[in-house]
Amino acid sequence: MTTRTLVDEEIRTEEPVKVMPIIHAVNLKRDYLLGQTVVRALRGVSLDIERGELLSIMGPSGSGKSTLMHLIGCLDTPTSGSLVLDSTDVSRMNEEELAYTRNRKIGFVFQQFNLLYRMTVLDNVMTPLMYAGVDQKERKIRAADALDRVGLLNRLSHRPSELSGGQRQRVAIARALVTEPSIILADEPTGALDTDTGKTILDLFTRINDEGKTVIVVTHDPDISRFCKRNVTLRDGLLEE
Amino acid sequence: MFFENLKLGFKDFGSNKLRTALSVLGIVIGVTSVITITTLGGSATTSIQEEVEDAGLNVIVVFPGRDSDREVRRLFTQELAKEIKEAVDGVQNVLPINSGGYLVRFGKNSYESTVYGVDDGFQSVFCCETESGSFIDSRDNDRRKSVIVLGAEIGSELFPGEDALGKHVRVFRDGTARSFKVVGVMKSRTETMRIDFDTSVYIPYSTYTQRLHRVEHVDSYFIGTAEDADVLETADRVGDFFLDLTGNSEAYRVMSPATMAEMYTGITETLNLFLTGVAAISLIVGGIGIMNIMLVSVAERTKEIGIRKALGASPRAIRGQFLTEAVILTAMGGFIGMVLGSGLSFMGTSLLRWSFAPRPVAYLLSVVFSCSVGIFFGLYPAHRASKLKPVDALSFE
Repeated sequence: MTTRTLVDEEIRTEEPVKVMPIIHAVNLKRDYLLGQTVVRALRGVSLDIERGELLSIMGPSGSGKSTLMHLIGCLDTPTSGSLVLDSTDVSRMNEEELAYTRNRKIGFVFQQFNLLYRMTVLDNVMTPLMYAGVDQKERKIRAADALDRVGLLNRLSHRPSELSGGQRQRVAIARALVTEPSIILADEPTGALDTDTGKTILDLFTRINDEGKTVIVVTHDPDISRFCKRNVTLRDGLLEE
Repeated sequence: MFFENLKLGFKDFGSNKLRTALSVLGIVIGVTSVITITTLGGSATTSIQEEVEDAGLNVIVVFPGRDSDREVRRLFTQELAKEIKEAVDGVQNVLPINSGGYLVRFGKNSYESTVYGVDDGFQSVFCCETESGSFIDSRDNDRRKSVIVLGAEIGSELFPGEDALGKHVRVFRDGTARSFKVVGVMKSRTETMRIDFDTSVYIPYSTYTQRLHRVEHVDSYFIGTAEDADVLETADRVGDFFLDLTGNSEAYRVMSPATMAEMYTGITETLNLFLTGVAAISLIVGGIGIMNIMLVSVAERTKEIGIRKALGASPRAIRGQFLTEAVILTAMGGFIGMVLGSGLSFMGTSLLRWSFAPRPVAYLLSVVFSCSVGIFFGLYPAHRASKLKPVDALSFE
């Protein structure tokens, strides 16, 4: 998957051939039923994200940015509109297909890390590979490799509770990278960290982006959005770029 | 994936030892009871059969039943014995026997005993042997001799450290006494058909009915079956014979160790089945406990389920994980129950001096049943876990 991304990069840098964007959203709408009232969280969002972009989605709370992230992350499906992710229409998928897509194409990084605290660091990073059906031996090798990439090779058998916040987030990033997904989706990744640690995490995202991965950061922090190459802002369920 | 689920399951129980232990308790108790009951039941049946085989399977006894009146009693004659032998297939010999309680005395020693009036066939029907001297023979009967053979215990009670042969004992009832010459002492023999051989004494049948206790009718017939005859079938035919004779099925009773064994075995099996049913209910109750704990576990681990789903766990994978946990719980309970049940029933059988006869079927069923309970009661919680929406589960705190 990495090699293909690189090939796409080369084509794009040499001559501007129109490639399919990695995310192609057309008029996405998402309504919720909150008691008797319908909450219209997204009211028609159209957005193209190119392969290899480093993009931030901004917006105040209640703007619909979390909803958009859930849709892009295949954690939820839109009420209407279409969403094509890496050439696959995911807007009408069932749970099994969504799970498969999440597993293969998306790596999540959350504000609260969302590690499994009963397991070791290595087991945490191996988990997505288990769901991908990779055999035990290869899982170990690839998980150790991913942890090496975030500089935590010496913490394999530690429990997440024995690590600092920055280290935990790096474990989460390793876990997101281990399946070699095309998209890294980060939801307020520095929200629970101090400024310096947050900076190293953001540097890590830049490096990942340099390696060719599409990185999408959902945040309300303007400092973080400045660090991204492109920013989109959501307000009241609509996009203002 | 299955092994990962196993690992995950054990990890989860490890962090919640008390709760895990309590939740499997129901299954443990259920399986323990099933194993104990079936093993004890099986051992009881085996022991009854062993006892019956020990006592001799080829004896049938007929005696007057609840509805017998003088009319019926009058039909129980000595001549009838020969008729039975001729009329009923499979009958080898028929002994008319009368008996009564008497006090047997020698010198200062006395003993409350049952006196049996028998003929020479008695020895062969019950396979009992003399320790010393000889048993009643046909000449004793023909001549109505006042001779007596003592059971093993009464022999040693009346003649401690002495040779009883040739001595005269006195047999008392209602103030009258008769003197008998001891001609034999029996070897000890297991009690059967309500005859306690060791505490009984034997005199010729003719002597009994004509000298000791004057009666016309026979108390009971002891029937020895032929080697190749089926005892139960022969007992049925004997029953038919008496039904023809008396015209009332309550006027006589036919019994044999074989029919008794059949009856006892029937009782123990029914009891067994009933108790096993009760134990099985406790297994189901245990299963409900498992379901309860699994539902709690799913609720508690909503966040974990959300994270796993975000990482790509399909509903099927989540279902598998929780189902495996439920089955591990019940299988664990089943295993502990089997060990406990085996131990308990082993102790029980050794206390009761029964042979330890565990039933492999019960073990197999326990395994199958406890795993099925796990699957059945784990299915709903697992299904609920798998149906959680990733977004909702992730935002759960």
